[in-house]
Amino acid sequence: MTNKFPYADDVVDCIDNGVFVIDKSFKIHLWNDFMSIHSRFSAEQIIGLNLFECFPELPKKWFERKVKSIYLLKNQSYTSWEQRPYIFKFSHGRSVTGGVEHMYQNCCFTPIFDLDNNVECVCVTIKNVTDLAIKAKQLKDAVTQLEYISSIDGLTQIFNRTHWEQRFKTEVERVKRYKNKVSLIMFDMDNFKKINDKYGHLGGDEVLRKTAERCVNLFRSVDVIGRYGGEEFCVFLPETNIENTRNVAEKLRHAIADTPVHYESKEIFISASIGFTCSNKEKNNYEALLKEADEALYTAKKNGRNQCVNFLDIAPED
Amino acid sequence: MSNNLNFTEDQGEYLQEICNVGMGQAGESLSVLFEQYVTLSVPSIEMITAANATESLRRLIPAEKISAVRQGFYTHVTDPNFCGESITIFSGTSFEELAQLIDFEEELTLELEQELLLEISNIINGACLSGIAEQLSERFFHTPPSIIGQYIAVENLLQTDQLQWDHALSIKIKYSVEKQSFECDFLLLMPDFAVKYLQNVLNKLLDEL
Repeated sequence: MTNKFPYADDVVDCIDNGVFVIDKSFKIHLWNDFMSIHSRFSAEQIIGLNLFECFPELPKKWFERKVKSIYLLKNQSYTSWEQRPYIFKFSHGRSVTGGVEHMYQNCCFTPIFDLDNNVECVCVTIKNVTDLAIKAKQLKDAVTQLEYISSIDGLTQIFNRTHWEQRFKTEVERVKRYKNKVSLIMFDMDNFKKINDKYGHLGGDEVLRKTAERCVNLFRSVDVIGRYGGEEFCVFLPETNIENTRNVAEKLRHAIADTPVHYESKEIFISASIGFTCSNKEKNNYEALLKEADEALYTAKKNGRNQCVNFLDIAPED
Repeated sequence: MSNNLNFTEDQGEYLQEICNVGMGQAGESLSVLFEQYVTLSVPSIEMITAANATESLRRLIPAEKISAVRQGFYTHVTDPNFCGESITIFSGTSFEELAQLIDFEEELTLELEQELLLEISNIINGACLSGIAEQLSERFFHTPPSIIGQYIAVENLLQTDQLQWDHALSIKIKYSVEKQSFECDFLLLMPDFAVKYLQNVLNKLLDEL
């Protein structure tokens, strides 16, 4: 102690982190330059004052609990920006590049001991981790966006087959577990090849886009719509019995067939063949349901198109 | 390698004694902080191998889904550097119960739930390690706690394909709180070289007896 470096106090001011010291009654004993610059309280102004009187916006109860545990357990304590973005709402130093409202902070509370090894006061350090937080947020946003892109069919903006199947599998598992029900509708545009031949592929694309749009408007938000392949679509309806499914399938048929699609000042008349089924048996499984709806869809095509077929009506009696 | 890592009977008994006393102290300070009687199990000490790490963890932590927080500790200026990590494991306790434990009154968001896990883990970690450090006449430094995962399988606690140790000492302590169904497991893990250092410290302390 005799050879103490005479500029130790200046070093505390040089540290590029907030450093301050409080005691049990939250009286401030040290306040470094970083704290002064960001808080607009100089060390001269604030030393000797109560922390909560200077910063009434601080979470007092939380702070008291934190400090109590440090006095009791003589142990360091931490906060991380991921859970608690900041303790002091300081500005971030990104006044031009922006993107955030405040400085993100990682904080550390460390006990300082007296000669008898009792906690004398608590030193709090505040690290500015704004850049890290921004990078982490950008990464998270990018992952969310990638997840979205990988689940969507680019042309129709509804779910693609991979994502839809994943959702349907999960739903069937849930149905099995909780003994609920789910209905499934599969439909296929009628004479789509002819539409493509007559109006070109762009005309066909517009038909698919409009069909998807009509589906989105017709179904409930809990129903999950996907493009199963080429001109084939699939929808599953959680908690829906076969009667309601029959009604909604009929509405769907009308929504598609009653209004032609406008394309380059021409009207394209379209229709769809629809098959549907419901999980009403002991052994529900995802592939079996798809097969049933597909069989009903095939029957609708065979019987002359632009119609709905219930698999349960064509199923061979057990 | 494994042979000289085995504890002699004296070392083993002394380590058990140190842990027992350390945990007793930890239990006392936690009881004061939580204002409820905290019970700690007798620490169970064993050596686990990297090859069987997953099996060992599954046996030590029988729960299906867990939330876990890790934290590192090390000593100052010793060669080899004595270090290890603790893992605090929550399996059945609700966040409401955790919040009650430390008078956490804010409304629980996902972030605050994580803060609760970190806060309680840090408290338990600090209490346990300071108890043991005092018995060993060492001073431990800690790294900030971080969440390994929430609702994960025990198999995902360690990245077993990337372990840099062959053997590790495992000290497991079970915590429970009197009036609540709160329970958590605390695992203290030390890699090979830290075990060797611990054995040296134990020998010195045994010589002084």
